[in-house]
Amino acid sequence: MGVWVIDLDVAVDDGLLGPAERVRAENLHEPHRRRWVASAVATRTVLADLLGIEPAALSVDRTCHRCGGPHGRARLADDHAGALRWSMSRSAGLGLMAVSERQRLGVDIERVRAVPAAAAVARRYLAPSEAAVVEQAPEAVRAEILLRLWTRKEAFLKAAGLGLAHGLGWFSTAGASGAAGWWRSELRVAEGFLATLVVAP
Amino acid sequence: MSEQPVPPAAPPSQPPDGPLDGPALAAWLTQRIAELLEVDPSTIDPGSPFDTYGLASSDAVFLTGDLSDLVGMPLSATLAWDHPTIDELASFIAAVLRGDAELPVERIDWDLDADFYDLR
Repeated sequence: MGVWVIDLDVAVDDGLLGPAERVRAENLHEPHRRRWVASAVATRTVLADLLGIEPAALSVDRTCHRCGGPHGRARLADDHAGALRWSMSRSAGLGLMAVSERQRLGVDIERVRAVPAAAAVARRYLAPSEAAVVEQAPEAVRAEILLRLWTRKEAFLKAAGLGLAHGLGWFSTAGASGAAGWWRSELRVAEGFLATLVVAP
Repeated sequence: MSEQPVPPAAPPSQPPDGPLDGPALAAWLTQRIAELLEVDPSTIDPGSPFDTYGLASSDAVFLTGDLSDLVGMPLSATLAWDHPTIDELASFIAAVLRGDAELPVERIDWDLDADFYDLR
C-alpha cells in the first residue's frame, strides 16, 4: 500500500489522458479543469508505474455500476482488471491518492477554511457525539474540528464503498481510533490541510 | 465580459430581501458557491453541474445545511447530488416551498469516489 501527495498546480502533459478523460476535462471550468487533469495524469502515472507499464497503456473504466453512465468510480480494465484498488481526493491545489493491491481504502483531504455555522452544520448532519465535540470547542477552531471529522467520515464511506444516501449521522468518528478491524490514520500532508486514510478490514 | 464594477460580496448566509422564489434562491446559491470557490459570482453558470467547478462534497453538504436554515426545512445531505446545478436546486426548493414538490424519501447512494455530480 502507498500514499501519494500530488501538487495539482504544476503543469502536466495532458497527452497522457485517455479519450473519456479528455471529454470529461473539456466540460470542466477553470481552475478546476487543470487541477482535475493533473490528478488524472497523476493517477495514470502512479498506477502504470506500479504495474510496470506505460501510463497511456492503462485501461481505465469509469462505467457507473448503477446506470451505465461514464461517471462511476474509476477501475482498471482489460489485462489489469482488479489488479489495484485506489482512492483519490482533491482540495484546492493538493491531491491525495492511496493505492493497495488487495484492501479497500478511502482517502479524503480538506483545506482548512472557514465554515459558516460549523456547530449548526455538525448538529444537522453529523452523529450526536461528533456534534458535541464541535460544539464544545472554542468558536475559533470549530471549523477545523468539523473538517477533521469530515475527513474521517468521507474516507470511511469511500473505503466502505458507500455514499451519503443514509446520511452521515449513523456512524461516529469521534473516538480516538476507527471501528474494530478498520484502520484509520490522519495524514499530515501539508500546512493548512487535513487528511485521513481509512483501510477496510 | 461585463464592464460593470463588481458589487461587494454579501456576508455568508445573508437572506435575500424578497420572497424565497427560484431566482432569489439561485442568486443566494450563486453568491455562496462563488465564495466557496473564491471566484467572481459572474463567472458561475447556474446551469452547469456543481462538479464542473470542483465543488467538494464537504462544501455541498455544508451549503445544504445553510440552505436548510435559510428555508426553515431539514434538507438531506444528498440534495445537491439529486439536483446537481444551481438552477435545478433552486427550482426544486422553490417548488417545495410552494407545495408543488416534496422532499425525497428514497435516495440513490452514489459512490463518493465517483465523479458524483456528473450523473447525467
